[in-house]
Amino acid sequence: MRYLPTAPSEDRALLDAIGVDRAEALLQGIPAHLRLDRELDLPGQLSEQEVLQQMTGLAAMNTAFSARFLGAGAYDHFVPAAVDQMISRQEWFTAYTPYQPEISQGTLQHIFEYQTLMCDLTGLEVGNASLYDGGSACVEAALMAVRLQKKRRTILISAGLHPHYQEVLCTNITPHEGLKLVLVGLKDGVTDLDDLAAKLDGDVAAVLVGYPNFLGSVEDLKAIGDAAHAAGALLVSVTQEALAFGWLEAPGKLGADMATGEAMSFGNKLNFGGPYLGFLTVKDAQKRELPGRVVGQTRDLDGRTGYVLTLTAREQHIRRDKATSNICSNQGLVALRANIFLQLAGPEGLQGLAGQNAAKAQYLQARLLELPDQEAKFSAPFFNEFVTRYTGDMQALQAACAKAGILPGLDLTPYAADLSNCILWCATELNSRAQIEQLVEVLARVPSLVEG
Amino acid sequence: MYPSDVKYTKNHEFIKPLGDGTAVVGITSYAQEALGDVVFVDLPEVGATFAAGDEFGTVESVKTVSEIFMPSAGEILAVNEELEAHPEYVNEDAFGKGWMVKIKLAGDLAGDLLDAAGYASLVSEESH
Repeated sequence: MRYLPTAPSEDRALLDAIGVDRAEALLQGIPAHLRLDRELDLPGQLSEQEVLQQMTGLAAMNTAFSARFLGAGAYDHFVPAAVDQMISRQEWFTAYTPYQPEISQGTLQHIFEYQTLMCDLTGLEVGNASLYDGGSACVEAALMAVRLQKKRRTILISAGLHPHYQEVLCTNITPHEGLKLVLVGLKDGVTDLDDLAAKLDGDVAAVLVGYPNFLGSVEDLKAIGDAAHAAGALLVSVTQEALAFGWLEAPGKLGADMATGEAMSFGNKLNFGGPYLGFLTVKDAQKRELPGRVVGQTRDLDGRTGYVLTLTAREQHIRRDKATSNICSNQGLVALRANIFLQLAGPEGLQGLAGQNAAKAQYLQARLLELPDQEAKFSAPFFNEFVTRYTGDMQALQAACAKAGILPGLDLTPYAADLSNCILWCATELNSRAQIEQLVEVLARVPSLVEG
Repeated sequence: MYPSDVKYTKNHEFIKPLGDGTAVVGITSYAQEALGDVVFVDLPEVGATFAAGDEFGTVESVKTVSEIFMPSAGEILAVNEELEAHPEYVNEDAFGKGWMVKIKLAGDLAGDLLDAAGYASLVSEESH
């Protein structure tokens, strides 16, 4: 993509060539009553210095927390400066996968590398060029499972799946006639295997399970997969914190047929909630039902390695209404950040980083549980998130944290009746020991309700 | 030019009755040529039943994907599993080793099928 400036004289030449007096005349086709016949209602012009002052003033109204213990689907990780530096080449700034391999080798190579990394991390064989975010990636995975399973029309969702992903699934699956979403309950913070067994009938196409789930618990993917497979259903592993792949066994190695979720944790900032990075990897035998772009590696006539879009007959520019999905773009730039980040980290770096997250979460939990009003909630192993039950006044806790510049974990009270007064805590490499001690100190001084 | 022991559809499938209540189904040599190099054939499971005109699979070529429709009602007895590793058989020998499914006919052949001469004239109209 190139910036192509035109001088007024060139604009004139263009207008003359098409026989039009002024550019506005090109709007004649729009009926007069639909055109705005006044100036836009905008504030007056400001100098650059004034704009900067105004924006700085607005930014100062934000609450900036010096220590953050909140994850729940959006994770605060360190981003090396090299990521910003390397994506700043103008050629990267497009969301569109290029149709012309002869002018797009760099972009295509990057996407192929990204796909390969996601396959390695998830233990599966074919990945696509990325999807919009974790929630929409779940939808694509569920619809793909239904296509693969032909006559089966039910999708089981573990109640441990991120509640936002559950909502996106409801929004997108419900309009499909005949498709059914059924919730599988939790027991001690993980999928209830008895409830799962009861609901795994011959109509179930796939089971979607969080790994780790929304409550931070690491599910027994193997046991869930065995149950699903015995009933002829596919296992879809959903990971909202992709850094967990540096710490946990790859879902594909535990029997997952597909792995999907959110990979913003790799080299991306929180960005006020997006753009994020949906990923999807599957087994080779399933590749013709993948949604979205796929880049393949090949050789040109001279035997040199090259990259092209492949398996395009799945897609809507060829397959029209029968396409596997209507997605035809991808999160190119966000995926590029993930690719650069993962290659900077390397396997040891990623493991080390994930290990730090796990160790800090363990330490945070241990310190919190020393407080008289914090109780352990679940017994399942966890990666960098876990739940405690708080027996004190939640509002007092939040107020005390805010005053100290600390963003505490997520209050789970609104999410489920049995999560009342529970907190989902997250620790990452960004949380220093000093931050954790400060948090514990602040919490220790919050007046407790229970005795009162 | 087109074999006379098979019947044809206007969608370019063929059906070859074997005389024992079963028949072999595939796409015609004209169809494979129009599609170009076939890279994948998606076929139904054995035991599935179809009415005449039902879509029963897809053929993917380097250019496009086409649905394939059942010429006569029946139940799938076998699918050509060789096509998984050798989709090019459809190009090389559409009426022979490029066959797609074997069915148990449910009743007589559909009434609207074309014979070789009828199909040849359909193709000559389409290609002009």
